[in-house]
Amino acid sequence: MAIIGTANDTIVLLRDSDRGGPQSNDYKQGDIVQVFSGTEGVTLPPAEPFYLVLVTDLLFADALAYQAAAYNPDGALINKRIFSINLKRIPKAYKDLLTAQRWFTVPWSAISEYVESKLG
Amino acid sequence: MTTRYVDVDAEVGGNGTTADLTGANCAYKSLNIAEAAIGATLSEPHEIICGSAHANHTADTTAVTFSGTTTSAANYIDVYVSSGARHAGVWSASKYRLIVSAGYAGVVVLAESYVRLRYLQITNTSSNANYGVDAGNGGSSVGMLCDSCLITVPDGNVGQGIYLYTTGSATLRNSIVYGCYSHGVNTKYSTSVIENCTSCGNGGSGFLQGSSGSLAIKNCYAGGNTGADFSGTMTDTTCASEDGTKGSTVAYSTSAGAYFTNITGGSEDFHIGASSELIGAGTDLSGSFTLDIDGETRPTGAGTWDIGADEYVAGGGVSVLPSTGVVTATGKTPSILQNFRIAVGLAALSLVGYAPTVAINQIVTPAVGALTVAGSAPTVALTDHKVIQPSVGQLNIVGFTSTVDVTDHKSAQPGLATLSLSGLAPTIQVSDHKTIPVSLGVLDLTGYAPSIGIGVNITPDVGSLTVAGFAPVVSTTDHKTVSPAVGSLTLAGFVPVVSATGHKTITPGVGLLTVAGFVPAVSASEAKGITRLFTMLHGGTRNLKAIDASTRAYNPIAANVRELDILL
Repeated sequence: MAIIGTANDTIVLLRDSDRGGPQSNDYKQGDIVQVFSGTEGVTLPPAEPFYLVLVTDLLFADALAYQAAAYNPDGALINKRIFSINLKRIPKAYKDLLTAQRWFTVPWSAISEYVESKLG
Repeated sequence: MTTRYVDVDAEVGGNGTTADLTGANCAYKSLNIAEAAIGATLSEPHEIICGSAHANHTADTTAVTFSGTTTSAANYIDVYVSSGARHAGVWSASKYRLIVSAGYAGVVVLAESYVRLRYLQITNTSSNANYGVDAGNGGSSVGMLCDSCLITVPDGNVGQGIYLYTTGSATLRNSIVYGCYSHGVNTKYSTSVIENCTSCGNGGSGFLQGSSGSLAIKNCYAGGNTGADFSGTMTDTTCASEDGTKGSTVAYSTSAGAYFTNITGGSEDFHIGASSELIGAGTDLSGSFTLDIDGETRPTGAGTWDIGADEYVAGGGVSVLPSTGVVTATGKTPSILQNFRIAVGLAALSLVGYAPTVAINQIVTPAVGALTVAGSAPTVALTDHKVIQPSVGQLNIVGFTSTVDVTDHKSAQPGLATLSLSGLAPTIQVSDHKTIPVSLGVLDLTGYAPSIGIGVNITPDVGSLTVAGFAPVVSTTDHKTVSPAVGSLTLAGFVPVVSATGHKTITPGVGLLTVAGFVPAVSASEAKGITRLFTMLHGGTRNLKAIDASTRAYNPIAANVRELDILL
């Protein structure tokens, strides 16, 4: 089964849980691991340790910035990913979908307020 | 060993447990995702195989940082490209490659120990690029291996190929770093070993060692760099450079010194030519490794190893040596263009692709277990090929328009167990072919329009000749004999035809000639002797005679043909 997205949509791959210790600069739950065009096709349900979100009305070209890592000026890694979707804050209906099927579809206007930056 | 697969052409969301492109078990869509799925602690080696054996791989465009996993010397991460998706020592835009725009960062960042990178193509395309492989700035080069990689960082903020500014014991081997904005390889603090690497055409140094740490560098070449080819404190063994900073002085050139294939920016090919001064100038390191960047075996013994990532092989192609177990070439147009010998003891030789070619001028010698050429238009061209020797177990040619062209081929020798061609229009052209001799076990052509054109003889003891398909043809112009002891000649298909113009005899001892299909025909003009010709028509038996078209007379049908069955 594949999500039928369009060129106006973006597939967002998230970590479903933390990796590494609490002080680690590694992936945390909700981190945007990678983004894809809505036309890439997906296999559902996504495998652990990932969730998928099909974000409608978000262009892939615009979404690319949300998979960026953070480095200090001399090149040392600060965080593997700057941006995450705060899965604790999203509406319960979406949480239930993640629990039940590990993915959901949402318009950008409805999810953008839960996208957070670790750089403040 | 845990194994996971990466293929950029796979669907999003697979679990990476197979190389499939679709389905829940399909490959991960990027190396970055494969890394993100590794657990926090390894209890066994974890290998990540990039690219499966399909054509035209899409580039992997996401940077990857290896961190967050506890590894050890025994429980390492091994990232390598599958043989079907691997470069051949020169950058390939159809094989697995990391093409990443990583501003102020690296494409592959090592922030944990014991990571191996093999057969990768890596470029950082950002105008603010820092590195190709980065094990600096808090990263780790402990237990790092970078083997048979192609790395270029043509622009950037820092713009270096490999950056090892960390304590650790890195090994770089068989890799080529070229065309970088700044240094090719930059090491400091680490205890690094660099073996048989090539670093050329960089805006800084080829190999740079900082003021601390140690670097042992062996069999390496640097040339065409804006900075010193070798710079800093290092222990060098049989190296060479354009500027003489380490080892012997060898020109960075396609027509002198190194004799590289191409040093033009954007088209670099650092395979060395037959006259290269790098040939045989290295130290035998076969105690550590035995292959070069494109998988060719380096010889053993003093004065045999070449300097740099490429080991020169005569003929420039696959070296098929005695006792090679299996040789398999895949791709769009896999070719073997060796002039001399596919030697004894080759268990199997397989070419699979769109238009595979075997052009062999001299000898496919005894004891080749099986020669398989498969694809859309496979060809075996054996011009002036003296012999397909005894004991070739099997020659299989499978494809759309498979052809065996054995012009002036004196003999397919005894002992060829099976010759099979299948496909749309398999053909055997055996002009002036004196004999398909004794003891050919089976000759099968199966396909849409198989054809056998045989000038002279199919000699005794051919066990079985089968031509099957839509319109099979046996054309035996001036064919003197399909001689005694042909066990069975069978044509089956929609419109099978036996055309035996000028065919003097289908001689005694033909056990059974069967022509079956929608409109079978036997045309035996001037057939001097076919006796007792039978057809099975609705269960009946009819006595037929061959008609001479010119005289409209019935010709006699010779003795001893036991049966000719035409089944309608």
